[in-house]
Amino acid sequence: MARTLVGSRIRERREARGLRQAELARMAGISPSYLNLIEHNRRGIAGRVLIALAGALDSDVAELREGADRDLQSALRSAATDDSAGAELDRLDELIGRFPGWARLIGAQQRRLDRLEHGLEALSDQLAHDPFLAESLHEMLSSVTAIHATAGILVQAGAMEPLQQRRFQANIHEESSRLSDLSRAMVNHFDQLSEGGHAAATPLDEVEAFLSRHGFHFPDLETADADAVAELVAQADDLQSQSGRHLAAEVLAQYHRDARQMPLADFVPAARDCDFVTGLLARRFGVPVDSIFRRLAFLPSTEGLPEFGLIACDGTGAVTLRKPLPGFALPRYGAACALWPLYQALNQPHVAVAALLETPDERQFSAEALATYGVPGATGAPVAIRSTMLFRPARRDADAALVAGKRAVGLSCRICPRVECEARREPSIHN
Amino acid sequence: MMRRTFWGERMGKHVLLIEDEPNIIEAISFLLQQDGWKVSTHSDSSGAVDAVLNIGPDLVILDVMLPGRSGFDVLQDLRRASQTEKLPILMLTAKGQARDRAEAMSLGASHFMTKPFSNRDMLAAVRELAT
Repeated sequence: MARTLVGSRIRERREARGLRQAELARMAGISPSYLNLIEHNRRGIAGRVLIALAGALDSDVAELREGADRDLQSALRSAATDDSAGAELDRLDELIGRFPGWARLIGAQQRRLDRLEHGLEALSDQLAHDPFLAESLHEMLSSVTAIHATAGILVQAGAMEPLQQRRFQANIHEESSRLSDLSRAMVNHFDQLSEGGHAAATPLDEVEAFLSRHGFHFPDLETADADAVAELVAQADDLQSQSGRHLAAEVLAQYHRDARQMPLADFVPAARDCDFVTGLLARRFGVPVDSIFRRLAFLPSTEGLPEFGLIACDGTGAVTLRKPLPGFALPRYGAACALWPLYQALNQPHVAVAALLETPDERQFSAEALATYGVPGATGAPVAIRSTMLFRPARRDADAALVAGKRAVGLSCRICPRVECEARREPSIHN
Repeated sequence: MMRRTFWGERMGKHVLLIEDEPNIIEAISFLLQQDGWKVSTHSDSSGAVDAVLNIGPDLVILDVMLPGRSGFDVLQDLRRASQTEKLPILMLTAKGQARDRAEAMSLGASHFMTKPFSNRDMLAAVRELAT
């Protein structure tokens, strides 16, 4: 495969520069027949010959070896996931090399398709799980039913007591007012969706919007006393529901406790010193590793500090906190991919679970999760469990140990192209 | 919870309507009463099973989306009780998906209607189930 890539690229670049094979061969110090074999992918190429050809073509060695079209290749591979089309994956590089315009067109179409599918998923997710829409539709159908039945009686029934007739008329008026209010509320809701991409439909949405507006970092909580939590919540316009304020207060109170245990001035140097290895940091500060997860995810966006994503769920799998990362989106509603360590950790509480996750678009993230039991209220009382997962873009060297356990994951079954996945719980739109 | 009874003249046959929307209650009650049925109503899921057992209707019209327990739960309880295991039960729901219909029928509903329904269909269903 790599051989094909390199040969095709050399020929493409030579032709783009208007050079004949003989000219390039002379410039690189090789014979024209050898160059011909290379360009037709019949000879491997590396070392000095590759360097010489790269120099003659005014290209980088890495660009010739790996190609500037890595994203294009990824998009074309994604387009070829439909086996029934019989796309010749083994001739992908030839396609790119010989028909670059067509390849770019297919790649662009595939990226557009991916964007549309993600949009479809977001809308489907919103419509299927948005509590506001579900409640509004139920109310609307109830009103329509009442109006339909009452209007039918008024039209079809014979003589009716005037008092009863007026009652029915009043009922229709009442239901039509209710419908009017409902339709206005739904229009406002859809306006919010179209203006902001997503409306804060759930308390968790409100909390995420609030945390995101603060960059998932709160300098006030680093030094102030616990009263600062209530002040922050009271001043937050994003937190409109009582549930949202309650949830945010819990998150911030935990943030404050973590900050007290691991002051920022100590934690940042320690994190750098430990190369952000969570287990080492947990030992250094004498705290559970999920405290380290939260502290890392809520670090300031300072140059030199890596960015971490975070997701937490309760024992039912319901998400209670989320901080997404580019390339690793988190579901707004419903459950995520069952293969995430977040859920695996629930089956082995107090044991950290780590894995290298590969998303359908071939991005890799290292993830680790820990589930812990809460403190029971009394002997024999039920104990709540909570799982937290920290993730970040994989680092080639630091995460090498995880490569053996690399796990092909998705975001949620609905949009995941891994149609044969054993953890699948519903059909994919890729079927 | 509010329970009311209206008298009709259809051979003393009695319909119990378990529904929480007052204007739907009023319209269906009037419609059935005009058609000669004796109509009682119950407006939430709590005590719904007791209401059925106490009243002993010839037919129950049961809304799925009730405050508290769902109409499916009430249906299940009614089918477990020997006095009501064969009682005709007409389920009403705002959800028309096949899976809701399948669930209602698998739990023992006699008939399933989706809101909004026509008055003619409602009367036809009640007449068929209770006579």
